[in-house]
Amino acid sequence: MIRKALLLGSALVATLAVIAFASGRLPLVAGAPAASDDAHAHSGAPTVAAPQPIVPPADGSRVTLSTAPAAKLELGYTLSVTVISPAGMPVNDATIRFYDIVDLFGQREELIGSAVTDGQGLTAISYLPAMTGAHQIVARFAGQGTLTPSLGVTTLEATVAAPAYTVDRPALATFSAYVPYAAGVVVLAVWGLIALSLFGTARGVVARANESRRKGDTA
Amino acid sequence: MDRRTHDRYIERATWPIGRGDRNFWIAVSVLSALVAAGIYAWIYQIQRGLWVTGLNQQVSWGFYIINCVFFIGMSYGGAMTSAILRLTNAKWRAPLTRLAETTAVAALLVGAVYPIIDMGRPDRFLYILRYGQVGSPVVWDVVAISTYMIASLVFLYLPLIPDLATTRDSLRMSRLQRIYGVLALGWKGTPGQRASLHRGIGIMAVLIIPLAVSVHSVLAWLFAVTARGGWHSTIFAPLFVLAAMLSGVAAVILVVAAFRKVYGLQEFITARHFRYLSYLMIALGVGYLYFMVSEYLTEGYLAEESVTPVLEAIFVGSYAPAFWSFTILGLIVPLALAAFPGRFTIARAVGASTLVIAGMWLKRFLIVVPGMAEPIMPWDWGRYSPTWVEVTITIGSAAAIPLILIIFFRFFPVMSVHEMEEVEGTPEPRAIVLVPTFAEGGGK
Repeated sequence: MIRKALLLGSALVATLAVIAFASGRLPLVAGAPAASDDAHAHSGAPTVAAPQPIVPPADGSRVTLSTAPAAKLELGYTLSVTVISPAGMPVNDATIRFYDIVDLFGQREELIGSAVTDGQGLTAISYLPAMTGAHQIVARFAGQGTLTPSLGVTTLEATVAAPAYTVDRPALATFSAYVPYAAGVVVLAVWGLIALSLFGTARGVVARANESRRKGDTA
Repeated sequence: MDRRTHDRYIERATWPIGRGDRNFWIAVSVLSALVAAGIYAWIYQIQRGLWVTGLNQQVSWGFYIINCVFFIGMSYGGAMTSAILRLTNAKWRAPLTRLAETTAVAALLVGAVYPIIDMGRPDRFLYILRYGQVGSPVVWDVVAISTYMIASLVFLYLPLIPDLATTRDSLRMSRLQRIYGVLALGWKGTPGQRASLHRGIGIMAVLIIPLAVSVHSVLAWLFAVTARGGWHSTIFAPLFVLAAMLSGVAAVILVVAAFRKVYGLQEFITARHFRYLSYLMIALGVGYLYFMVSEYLTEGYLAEESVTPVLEAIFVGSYAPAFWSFTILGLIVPLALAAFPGRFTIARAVGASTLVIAGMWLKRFLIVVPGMAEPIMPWDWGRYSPTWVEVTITIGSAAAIPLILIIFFRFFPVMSVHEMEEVEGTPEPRAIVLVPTFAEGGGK
C-alpha cells in the first residue's frame, strides 16, 4: 500500500515538476516574444530594441536642432528644433521627441521630453543634464501625413548639471542604528543558551559519572 | 511496556548499527551516485560560471533559492515536531523524535549549501563574513542559519547520549566502542545524570522553536524587504513559517513511513502515530490556506502597479497551471485525503504527505520566479528555464537527505531508547545481550 502511494506520489511530483518547468518556459504576458535561442537572450540581458540609427534621412523633412544656454545658467539649456518639410515649408503641429544618448547596458536613448511645433515649425524645451560634459542630443520627428520620419542631431557641451541628489536621513535612523546591537545581544544570548545546554549537560553527566565511579572505587 | 517488548524495542532500534546488508549497499550506492552527479554538476558550474544555469540578469534566483527555502523549511518542521512533542510530553513521541530530529539536521545541511551554490563562486561566501553589513538580510540569514544549525546538532546530540551509552555497552571489542564511549560522556543513567540531561534537552526544546521561527522569518524577510511585486508583504514571515512547518511535518511522515517499512518498526510505529502527525499536518495546512488567501486578497484588492501583473501571471497567466496544481493537488486534495472520514490508512497519510511536499516546492517556485521575472526596469518580462546543471544539483541534494539518514542510522539507534524508557518506564533489570554482527568482526 505504501509502495503504491509512493509510486502515485512520485508520478504526481513528476507531473507538477513538468508543469513548473513548462511555466518557466512560457512567456508571462500575452504578446511577449518567445524565448530566443541566441546567446544574448539566454544571458538574460534586457531585450530592449537596439538603438535606431541617428543619421538624418536624405530625403525626409529637415529637423534642425540647436542648443543654447538658458537665461539663467543654473536652469540648464534650451533645445530648439525647427522642422522644415522637403518642399521647404515649416511643419506645424509636429510632435518632436528629444533624447539624450546614454550608456546604460549598451548605448540607448533616454527620453528627455517632447514638444509640438508652432506655425513656424519651431519648438523648444529646456534641459538640465544630470552630468556635465558632452551629450549627444537627438530630436525625432515621427512623421506626419505624407511627411516621412526624420531627426536632427547635435552635441551639447554641458558645463552645468543638475545638483547631486541627496537622500534625506530616514526618520528612524537614530533608532535603527541601535537595532543591530539589540539583535546582536539576542544572538549572543541564544548562543549562550546553546552553550549552556550543551556544556552544562556534558559537565553534569561527566561529573556524575566520575562521582559514581569514585563511589564504586570506594566501595 | 513488558520486558520482552522493551528488549524487542531496543533490538529494533539498534539492529542496523554496524550492519551492511545488500539492500543497505544498494541504497547507499544509488543515492551516492545521485549525490556524486549533483557534485559533478556543481563543479561544472564552478568551472564555467553561472551562465551554465538558467539564471539570468532578471531571474537571478531560481532553483537554488527555491531549494534553499524548501529544504530549510523541511528541517524546521522536523525540529518543531520533535520539540513540540517533547514540551507537551506526548507519550507516543518516543519512536518518532530521533527520526524527526535527524531529518531536521539532514535537510538543514542540504538547504544551507544552496546559497553558496547560488553565489556561483563559493569563495565569495567569505566576502559575507569579511564585508557583510549588519543591515543586509543576507547577513541576518547567515547568522540565523548557522545558529539554527548548531542548535539542531545539539538538539540531536543531547537525547542521543543515553543511547550512545547503550550502543557502547553492546559493542564489545569494537574499535567504535571507544568513540561511542567518548560521545556518551560516561553515561550510566544515574538520577543526577538524568537531571542534567533533562535540563539540557528542556532548554534546547524551548530554544529550538523561536530559533526555527526566526530562521524562516529571516528567510522571508530576504524577500519581503525588497520592493518587488508579490514579495513586499507583511504577512510573508508567518506565511513562510507555516509553509516550513507544513512541509516539515509532511517530510517527517514520509521519513517515518520509509524507515518503519525498511527497518521493520511496525510494532512500535503504528497507524496512531501517522494519524496524530496527519492531524498536525491538517491543522498547519488549513492555517496555510488561510494565510495564503489573506495575502492574495489584500494584495489583489489594493491592485498596486507592481503587484497586479504578478498576480495576473500567477492566477490566469503562464504560471496559472503551476499555481492551481499547487492549490488543488498540493494543498486541498492532500488535506482532504488526510482528513477524509472513514478508515485512516498509513498509505493515505504517505500519499497526502508526498503531495504536500511537491506542492510546497511548487509554491516556493511561484514565490521566487514570477516575482523575479516581473521587470522593475523598462525591460520585457524575464524568463527562467532551469538547465541540466540545476536539475542535477537539485536531484543530488534531494538524494543526500536519505543518504545522510541511512548512514547516520547505521551508527546510531533509529528510535530513542532513552525516550521510550522515560515514557514507558524501565522494566525489571536483566542482562541485555545485544551483539551486532560487526562487533565480532562482522559488518557483512
